[in-house]
Amino acid sequence: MNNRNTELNTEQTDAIENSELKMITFSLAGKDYGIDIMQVKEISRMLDFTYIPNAPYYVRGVYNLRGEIISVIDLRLLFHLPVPEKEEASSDEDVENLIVLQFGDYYLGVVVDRVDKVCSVAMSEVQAAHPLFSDISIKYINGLAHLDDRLYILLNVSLLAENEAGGRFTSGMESIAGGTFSSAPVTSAISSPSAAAPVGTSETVPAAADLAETTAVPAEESGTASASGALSETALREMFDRFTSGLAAVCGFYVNEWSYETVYDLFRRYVEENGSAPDFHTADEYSRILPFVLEEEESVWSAEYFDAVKSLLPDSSGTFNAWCSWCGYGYSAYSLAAALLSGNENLNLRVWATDDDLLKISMGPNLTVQNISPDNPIIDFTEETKNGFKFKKNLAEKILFEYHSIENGNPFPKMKFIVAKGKTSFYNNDTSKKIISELYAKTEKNSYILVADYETLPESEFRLVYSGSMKIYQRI
Amino acid sequence: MRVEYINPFVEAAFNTIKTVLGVDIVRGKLYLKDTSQPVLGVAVLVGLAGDVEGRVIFDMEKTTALKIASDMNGETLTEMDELVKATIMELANMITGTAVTRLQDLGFSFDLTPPVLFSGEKMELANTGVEALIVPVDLPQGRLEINVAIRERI
Repeated sequence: MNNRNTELNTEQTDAIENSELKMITFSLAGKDYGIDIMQVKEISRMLDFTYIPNAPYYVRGVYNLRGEIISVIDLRLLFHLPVPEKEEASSDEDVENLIVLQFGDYYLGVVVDRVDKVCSVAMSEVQAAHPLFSDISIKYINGLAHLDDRLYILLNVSLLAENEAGGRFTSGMESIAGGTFSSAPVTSAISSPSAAAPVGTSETVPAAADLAETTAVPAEESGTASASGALSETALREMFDRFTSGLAAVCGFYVNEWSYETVYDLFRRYVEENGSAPDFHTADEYSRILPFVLEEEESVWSAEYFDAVKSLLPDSSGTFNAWCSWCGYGYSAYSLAAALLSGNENLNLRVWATDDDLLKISMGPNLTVQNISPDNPIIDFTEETKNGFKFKKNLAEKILFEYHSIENGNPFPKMKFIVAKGKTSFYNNDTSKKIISELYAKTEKNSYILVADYETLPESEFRLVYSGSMKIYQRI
Repeated sequence: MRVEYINPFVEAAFNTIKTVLGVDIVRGKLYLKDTSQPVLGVAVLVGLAGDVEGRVIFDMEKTTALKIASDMNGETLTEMDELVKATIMELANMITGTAVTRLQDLGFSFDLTPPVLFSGEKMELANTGVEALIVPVDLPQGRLEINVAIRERI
């Protein structure tokens, strides 16, 4: 399949480089943007969207477009751009400009400031976007086009439906997402993960194709596995690609270089036992073979974690910096600090605890825990109050709670211990690649990284030093 | 940015604006941003030093600045003259000063630099590797964005 993909991609790329891209241009907060016209169904002006309670902040509501109910999102709200105030509906000026996008047989309306015109630009003129260029997240940008002295930002609209909605919008978003304008063959990722692997299909699933490049795929090894018998490696790989697309769309779990090995193994075992690919449609079904796709509830570390970390600890002199990424309410940060200090009470420790959930991380400095089992060693670091167990001041003062999104850069120093457990796969492939390299960048020789039991770090750079219900790697 | 720093800035902004302008304000959702961004037209920068390094930027449109300055001075101002500039810088100074005082009470030691005002068309703000907290404030006079980036001195 890899070979065929490459051929296809080359053909497609050739065709694209010589072709023109027709785009609809519009403005948001004074900047010009473009959307591939192939993804636009129509343009309209309308008012009075039906509000939906509990929808994400950027959803304006639903609209009845000639009998078809479509969801309407506001790009300005999504990108945190100012929304010009509209007076009450009195004049023509007050209606919103709406672009109706089409993904397969599914429509999505987006509200913009002003729709400009339709224009063509040669694909060869489209340049990659620079992260510094725009005030909207780079992941939504496909490229930049310069035309008539104006710079247009080409939006990757597929991502709107697929990514922000976290699988809310269905119908094959995943297979278009992340692709450039070349992703012509659109297949429904969700409706077909169960199809019995037609070997001749020519679909490309960008996420999976991308993965194949970056991950060392043990192709021969699994091909010769005796039990896979009748199924060829190609068929298995195609089934796996469809499986991962469904997994991303349903659970928001994107198989990446850390989780690839385990997910592929579990998938193959399922196929070998059942003789066909899993036909899953809900997160519960996926979690039956991949229990880790559901987010874990947070709690203080168990004694196992505690002892594992404590035993690793060298008699470190100097500052010992540790980073607890995605620490949520801070349970893992307190646990990590307690484990490290119980190994060496004179350790000059500083723990950065970060999360991008402001509500959770704000609780960090004053966290109280309702229940701690009396045989959990962390209990020595707490004081019982009437509200629960509170961490002692000498522990709490070692921890800096920061409101920080790991997708953005940070000024942290090199870390001797990083907790990065079970989260990287919940970002799409480009972001998780960036996050993983950010995590690596903060390590130095002999630094430890604690990851979930299903995550595997590259052997060439990391040595496995503990394996149990989680894993600890040491940088070589 | 440390969570302990967030509330002092948000509270200082809201209380100061409420007292000075006597208006109701709508608090927008706080969020983080690391890319460069357009400056709306008038920006006041206050630097922070001490235990930390960083800066606070108050960003607004020119019309908003004029309206705020008019209300603070009790007269109608239509030009970006010295008085308007001084008034806007004073507002920025008051907000940052209040925040820093609160932080001092919590045991963090910060110093301020004198405010600097930038104004112009189509300006863009760029700094790499700095994650900023954005506090959007909606006033009857217009929108004011407070952009706070602080990091620990290591």
